[in-house]
Amino acid sequence: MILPKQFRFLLHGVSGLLLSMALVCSAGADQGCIDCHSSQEKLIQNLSKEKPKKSAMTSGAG
Amino acid sequence: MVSQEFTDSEHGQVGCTECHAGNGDAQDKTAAHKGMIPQPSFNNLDDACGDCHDEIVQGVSQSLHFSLSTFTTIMASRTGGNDAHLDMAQERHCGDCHTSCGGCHVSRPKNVGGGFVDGHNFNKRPSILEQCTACHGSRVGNEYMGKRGQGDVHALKGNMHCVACHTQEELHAPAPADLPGRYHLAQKPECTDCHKDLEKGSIRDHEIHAGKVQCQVCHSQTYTNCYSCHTGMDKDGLPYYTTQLDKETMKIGLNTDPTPDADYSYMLVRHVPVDKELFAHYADNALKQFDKVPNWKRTSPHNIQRKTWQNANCNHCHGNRELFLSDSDLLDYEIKANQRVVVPDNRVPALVEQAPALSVDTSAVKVGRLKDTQWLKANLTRKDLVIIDVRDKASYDAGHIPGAILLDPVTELRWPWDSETPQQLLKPEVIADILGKKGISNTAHILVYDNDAWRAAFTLSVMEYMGAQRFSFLKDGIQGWRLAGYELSKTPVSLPPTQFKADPQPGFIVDNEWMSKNLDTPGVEIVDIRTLDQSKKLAKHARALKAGRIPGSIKFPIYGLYMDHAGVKPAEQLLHTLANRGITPDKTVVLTCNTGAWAGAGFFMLRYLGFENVRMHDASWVGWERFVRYPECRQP
Repeated sequence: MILPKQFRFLLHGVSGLLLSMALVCSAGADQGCIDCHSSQEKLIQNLSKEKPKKSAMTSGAG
Repeated sequence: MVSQEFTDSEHGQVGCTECHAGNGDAQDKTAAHKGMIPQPSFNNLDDACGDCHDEIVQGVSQSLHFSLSTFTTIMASRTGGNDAHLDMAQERHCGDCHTSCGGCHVSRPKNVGGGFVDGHNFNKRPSILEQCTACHGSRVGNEYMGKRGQGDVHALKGNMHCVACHTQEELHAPAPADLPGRYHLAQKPECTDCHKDLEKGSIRDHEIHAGKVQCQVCHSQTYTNCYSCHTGMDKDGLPYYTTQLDKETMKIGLNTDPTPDADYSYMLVRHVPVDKELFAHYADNALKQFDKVPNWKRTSPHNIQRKTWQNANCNHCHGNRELFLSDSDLLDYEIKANQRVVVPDNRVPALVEQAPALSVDTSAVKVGRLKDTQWLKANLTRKDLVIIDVRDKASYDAGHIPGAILLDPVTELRWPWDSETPQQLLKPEVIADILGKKGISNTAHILVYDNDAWRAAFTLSVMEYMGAQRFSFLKDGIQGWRLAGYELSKTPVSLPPTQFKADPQPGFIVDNEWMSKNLDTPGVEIVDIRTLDQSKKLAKHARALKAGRIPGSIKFPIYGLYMDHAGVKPAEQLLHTLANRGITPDKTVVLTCNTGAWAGAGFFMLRYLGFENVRMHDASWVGWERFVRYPECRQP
């Protein structure tokens, strides 16, 4: 079905508004992530002590 | 760290948990990270990236970077497929080398260290150093940036990023499941995408060779070839791989895998490291179909130059059996696998009688300054010979040439970093004292070796500056000695102290004042001998304030003068290469780098080649930029 042009604009506007609301909500909900991951001090405090290990036997030009 | 710029960006507004899952409301790390997806473009591709970039994601999920499908296809050809042990081996040792959206647009791929490139910002164009060549480094990156050879003209003159040729249409393209190899991908780049209608141009050789010979055969430099990769698990249970040898060379083979746009007869071939015993740790006779696929494979070295030794004269290729792959280049176990690639004698193009030999004047070359391993073996016990190993102590302790003493020229012959003239040469009388105490006299024949040329060559530049009478560089270094089957020693050597009577040649060294006065002097060529990433200001030395180069300097990386493992090309080739860049013996050539060490290495080579007026810029870039920025506290 082909919608009238004005109605399509309206649909775009509504969907854009809904998407913006969703983004704002989710961004707000992730403030805890941002607090840690934008602070060097907090990141260092929480760094895993178990570092990924690479075998010392690995060699070659790669 | 996540940057403010990212959180303010369009992607930043999406919200972390939309892509990474986890719990954004939690106040402690454990709860917040529960169910988290660290690399969403691998494990949550459709939801994380596909929500907005659906069309691209559909292709990416089947792309060569994501799926490694052609790698898997070729390995299955060698193994016969369907072996759980080998699946595990490939997963452990080979599976890391793939990437997805995040590895090109957000962070360094995990297998090369991980971490954000730019504060989690999504960059449309990947970082050439942090992303593209972080993975494609050893062959592509090193060749392109002049870390092997003199670099690629597309980087040097074109300032071309990888994506200039490898477009998003190629990188995002889905690879068909049955694609036999990466060169069969329809979207791959071709030289002729830009260089159109070459055969109709003014260069006769293009007309003669187009369609018969791969472009790189005439326009590449030598490249690395790796041998004998083995995999296994170490005593800590960590997977490892190790290759036993790499050699810089060039070989032309027959094209056994023509594609519609590359159906030429001859192509460059590179030895890939797969070994018949690659997965012996996991299964006996794992590569039971090893012979099905050649391990000398078509290659497209990223070290293109317009003028090369091959295209300088017809007979540098024609009739040059050595340049074409032969049975003698093959290891015993790979003869059968490569028979189709080997060029039989009757397919080596015949000599062109009417092509006169290239005239390169080598009469001034100081041949005695280069010695090979056979010479050293025959002269090892000579009383007047002092052999100096300038590798690090761990390498020396692990095995050195019998009788060699250890010297670290970088730390023992130069001022320390915290001095007023960091890394510049010590005063001649101090150097003479150090050399004398090590048992090195100015009348001895001093032979220096290492494993990668520049330390030995730098040491020899100091010897000439100090007035040593006889000194030589060991061609092919420690690897050449080892491959010749000669013995190594683990016994440390110290010689009785002697006197080094200094006769310093101050004219060999120039300071910043001299440089600033001669930037535009006719007949003076300043040669920046650093790799292109630094001379092109993409990267900087750790001690430099910022990236940059001395105005007007010619970019010619040191690895255009020395090959891997201290190999040295014939003098006529080197002189020809230098002349192509305007570096000729009739000029005053000043070599500069970051700290003066590579400048010294270049100095030795140019002096060997017969250049009379060569200078080392001791302070180099690290000293120069301070000199320029802070004129009130100028140090020479």
